[in-house]
Amino acid sequence: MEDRIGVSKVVGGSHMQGGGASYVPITGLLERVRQDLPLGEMVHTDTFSLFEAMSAVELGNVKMDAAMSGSCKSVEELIQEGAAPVEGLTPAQTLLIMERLLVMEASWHNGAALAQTVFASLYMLRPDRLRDNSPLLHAYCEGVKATCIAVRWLVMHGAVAEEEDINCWVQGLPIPDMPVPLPDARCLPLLDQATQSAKGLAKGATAPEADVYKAIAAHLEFRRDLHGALLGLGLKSEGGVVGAVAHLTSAQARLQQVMGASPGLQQQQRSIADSQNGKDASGAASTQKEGQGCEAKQQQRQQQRQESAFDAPGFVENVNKYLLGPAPPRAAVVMSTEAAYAYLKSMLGHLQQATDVMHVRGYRALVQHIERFARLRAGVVARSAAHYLIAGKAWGPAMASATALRQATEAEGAAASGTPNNSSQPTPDNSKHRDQAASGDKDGSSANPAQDVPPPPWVLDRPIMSEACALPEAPGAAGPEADLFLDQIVIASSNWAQSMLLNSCRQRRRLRRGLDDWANIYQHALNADMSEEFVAFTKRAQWAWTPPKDEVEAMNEFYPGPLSTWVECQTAASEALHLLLGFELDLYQPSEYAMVYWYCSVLLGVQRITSQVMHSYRCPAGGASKASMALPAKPGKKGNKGRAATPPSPLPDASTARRQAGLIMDAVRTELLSSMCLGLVRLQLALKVAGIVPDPILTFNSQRERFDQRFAAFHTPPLVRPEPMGYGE
Amino acid sequence: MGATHDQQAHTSESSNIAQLKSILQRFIRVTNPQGRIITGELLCVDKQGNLVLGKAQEEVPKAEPRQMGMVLVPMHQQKNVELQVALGEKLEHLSLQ
Repeated sequence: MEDRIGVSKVVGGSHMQGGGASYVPITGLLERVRQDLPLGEMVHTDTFSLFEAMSAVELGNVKMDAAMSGSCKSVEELIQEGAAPVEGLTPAQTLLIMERLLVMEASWHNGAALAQTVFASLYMLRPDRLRDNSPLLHAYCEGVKATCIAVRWLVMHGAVAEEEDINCWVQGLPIPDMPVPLPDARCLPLLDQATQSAKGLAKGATAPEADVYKAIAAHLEFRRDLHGALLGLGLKSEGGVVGAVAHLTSAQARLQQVMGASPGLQQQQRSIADSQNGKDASGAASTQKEGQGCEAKQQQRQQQRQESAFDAPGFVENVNKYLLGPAPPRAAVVMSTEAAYAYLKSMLGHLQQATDVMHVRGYRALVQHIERFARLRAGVVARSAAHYLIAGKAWGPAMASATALRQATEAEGAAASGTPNNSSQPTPDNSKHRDQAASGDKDGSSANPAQDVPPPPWVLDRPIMSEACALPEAPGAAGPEADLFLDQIVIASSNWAQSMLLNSCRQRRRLRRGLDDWANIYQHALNADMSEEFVAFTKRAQWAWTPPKDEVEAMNEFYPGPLSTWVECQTAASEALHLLLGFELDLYQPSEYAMVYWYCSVLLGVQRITSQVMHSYRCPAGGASKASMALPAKPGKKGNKGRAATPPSPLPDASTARRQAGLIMDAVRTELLSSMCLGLVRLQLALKVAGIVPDPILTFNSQRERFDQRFAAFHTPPLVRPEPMGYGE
Repeated sequence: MGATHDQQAHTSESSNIAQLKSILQRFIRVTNPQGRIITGELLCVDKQGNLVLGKAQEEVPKAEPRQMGMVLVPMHQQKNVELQVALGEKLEHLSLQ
């Protein structure tokens, strides 16, 4: 030990490079030690830990060592060798490169690293080489880079992406890392110009080449529309979303054109036809062989697909292997052309559905929108867009970045029109042709500073939550406890919305974790229900709720306050959803179905009852603010003795009627679902009695213990409402 | 005679293992059959010949070394293994070959 320390002091214990280091081979010593060591023994330092060594990167293991294979040549060396020619690129080659970049981009969206997909192209790493010789491809590459920046920005500010969803590592690539760069529209004029050029070339060319130029033009237009849509979504305003919808509709049409002229799809169809011909020729023997080696053939097809993904000019699989970090989170898999187009088609459709949020008014409609979108099981880009659009002040960075993007966009617009602006963002040089639909708000607020623009009405913030609970938006109108409650439910609902838009595995777990928030909120609701200011507010607003006379009555479950009732309803909904997601994720054994459905029916019953109770309170929604602020009328003056002063009665306005109708609909819907769950329970029991579903053999724990384990999250303090159900019930 | 032979064998075992222990936590350089060069602190050697290196980095031509953290180098990835020594102690460690 002392010798070791002494020697290491001499050397200095560091990576010495250059003339200071010398090396002595020790291969022979290691071989001798290998022979001398008894089996199971090892030589190690005092601080060595096998537990830590479990996370060591194994050199040469393709799943862990990203740089295992491939050449060590630099980008410049590869370009000098002619791996990415710029002169003499045919239109067909240009089209092939464009399509391959699209496939790579889709692969990136589905978890592969950017360095191994989009930036495995030498043209993407050095796009300036294309400027003079291949302007069409140059414009496309700039567009792809801009779109990747926009997608990365949206994903990082959408706050629902996890490491298994997408890889946002960009170190060493020509994309700024931190701070996350704002997406911009500088590529749009370039794409417009290239599109016009491609269409002109198509007109002047003959049949096969003309089709290729048309396909190139379709690619450029698709890229333009996709980027325009992302910019529109990023603005987080009604005008921006309307513009995004237009771009998405156009992008879907362009994608169809692109698919129709896809060289990759045509090649795939030819190879399928060839394999079919080969299969027919060899007859039954080949069928038998295929059945036996099915998995091997799938692996072979995957291998071939991986190799063919880099067949296009300029693509080198491991050109960026040293940028990947020691161990990638997963093995990079490039999608097939068909799968990539299917993904892009579904992504555009899901983004369209995310933009439906602009029709949302009110918390109930927002919840339905989120639940409907969550059932789509969309990709990370669409989910990020959906959450970004609804995220309120609880997600500070999302709001701040939307403001920054609006400022930058307005600065570009002002520069283009020649008017002075107050933005501190730098103005680009070539932003003359600005996409008006994606640039400004339709309400004409582009002339005002972005900070003054109120958030859209669908954003999860204080206004929408005050409408949900029929509380006044203005602080202090219903007392400080009610204000605190309102602030807390904004946070809880924002967390719930984020949970709903995570991937399905994380979604269920996050919903369970969110029950702690709801338990905390319930205490705030009880405090608010009992506060004098809130009780006075409900009297002024003429709610049909009789407050409890004292605290003893308040603890009685037959005197639930309106706010605590609302919280109980939301908690029950969250619990029911958590249970139902378990079926989707295949977490339950058939023997557990009965108890899970039974508990679901109980929770849905709680939702029904609480909806009916809230309906009975007749809380005015739109008239609440007026009624709460209006003071009782003064007594009549002398000479008007016949007229008695009466407080203003809030008339049932449209928003109140809508709220009441919504509560009734919720009660009916949950009653229906509860009945369905009870029916499934009875079916399970009938199957058990009939012997079709036998009782499980429980070796390690009893049915009661399994019940307690399955629903433990609902029994954990401080969660008190909905009342947890025991096994005996 | 057998006992003496056993004692001698035990002594030679100890000397090889003792020599290896003396170079633990020293920096070594491993070249794999593909020509990749990894340097790191020697932390562990086992019966199968696997090496565990700490603070490992990979030398990348014309670029900054790539940090890899803790690395396990299997036997089949060890084309050449060298100990980093100062010039003054090179002669002393030539016997480790």
